Amino acid sequence: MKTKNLIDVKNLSVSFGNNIILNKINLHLSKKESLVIIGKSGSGKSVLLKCLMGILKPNLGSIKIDGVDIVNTNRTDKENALKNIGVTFQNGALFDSLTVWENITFKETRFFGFDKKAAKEKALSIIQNLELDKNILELYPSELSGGMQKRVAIARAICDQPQVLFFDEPTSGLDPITGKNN
Amino acid sequence: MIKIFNLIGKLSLSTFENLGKITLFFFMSFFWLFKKPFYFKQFLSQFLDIAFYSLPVVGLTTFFSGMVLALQTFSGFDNFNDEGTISKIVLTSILRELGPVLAGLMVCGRVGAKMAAEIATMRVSNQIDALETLSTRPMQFLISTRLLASIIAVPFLVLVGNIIGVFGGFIVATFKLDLNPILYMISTIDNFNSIDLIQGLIKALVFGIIISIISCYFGFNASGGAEGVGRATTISVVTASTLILTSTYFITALFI
Ligand SMILES: Nc1ncnc2c1ncn2[C@@H]1O[C@H](COP(=O)(O)OP(=O)(O)OP(=O)(O)O)[C@@H](O)[C@H]1O
Ligand SMILES: [Mg+2]
Repeated sequence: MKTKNLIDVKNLSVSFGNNIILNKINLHLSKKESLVIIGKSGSGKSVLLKCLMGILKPNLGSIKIDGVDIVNTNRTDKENALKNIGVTFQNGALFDSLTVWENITFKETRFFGFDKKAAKEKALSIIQNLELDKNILELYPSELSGGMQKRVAIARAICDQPQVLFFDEPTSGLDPITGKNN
Repeated sequence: MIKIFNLIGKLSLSTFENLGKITLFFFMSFFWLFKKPFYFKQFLSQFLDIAFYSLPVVGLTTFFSGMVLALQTFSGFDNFNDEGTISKIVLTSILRELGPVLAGLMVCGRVGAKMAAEIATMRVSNQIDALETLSTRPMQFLISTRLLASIIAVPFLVLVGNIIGVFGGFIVATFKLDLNPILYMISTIDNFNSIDLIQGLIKALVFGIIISIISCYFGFNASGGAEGVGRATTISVVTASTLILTSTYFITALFI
């Protein structure tokens, strides 16, 4: 029996109309492994990530996360499989009607019983590692710079310590020094 | 001129094309309403936005409609300008038709446009995708809460609008037309028919569904940046107000 990978992508193909973006991609990742995908702009990196996040349904192929095929399964199983994944989008995709700390702790505060103070403290502990000032916690995403938004998005992704992290261009929009330190 | 017809044709075509999908969308968001968790905070903020902040505009429009109804009835039917006739015409028109339709159109312009723009923006900036990745079903979080809020808020607005409208008629009848206030009030109460009220409230309920579902549907399926947001807003206001004005006919026909 082969070793179980955390992520198994087989024959993944995506096309928009006649425009074939991904053609039979195979990808295997085990725990604690990290992989950087580099490619020309428009080559399909973001599309691949969207498939892995379960947002885009591929035309062909399978994506197994921790053994669950998120392409060909029912909604509940897919949701459970994706619970352990933190992601950032290329454009940040922060909720602009929520403050920074509400954004970061969105997943936790969604359920009742997580009080405001604890959530704020948690958000603070995370952004301090990302060299963000604590004053921004009460700001809205539109009041932040592009790079700060990006780091808040990263904070949101890592907030509940997911097993798997997908980052779409996490360092674009950051100056080289900030990018390197994080 | 041809351009205008072209546009109307295109709009109605896509409306029919979307009808099936919209029905499905409605059932989906209704279904998720009964599944845990219920996002109370979302619901409450939407409810306040619709019910409370629409009160001034709904109140103002129904008040003036009540006044103009009394005036028109008085000047239009020379032989019937007694308290009984005027109060009856004001009351039934407001309860059955003007209250719900005016409130519906006002909410459609105010809230429907906002819902469509808000959700479309969330769509084109990946915020809806982000919700999904944070283990939150966008349908349940964004749409079901808005549906429930408007199902409750629009009938509430209509109820308040009805009272204000009838009061507007009373004001004109007594202060401008010199009718007897006591007689006018008594005949208003005499002419009150709960079926009229129910008819209006059913309309309000249907309008609430139309406004939220149409706006959310076009917002949810928006694409293509700022222009897409604008398009979603326009088409949802046009579609929802058209549906309001057509559905009121069919609901009325059910009651005849
Ligand atoms: N929703 C869509 N509809 C149609 N075509 C799309 C869609 N999304 C992406 N594409 C196409 O897929 C291709 C790959 O896009 P993608 O965003 O994955 O590129 P990328 O590798 O992330 O590029 P960049 O480095 O610029 O972010 C592009 O040619 C784009 O036009
Ligand atoms: Mg990209």
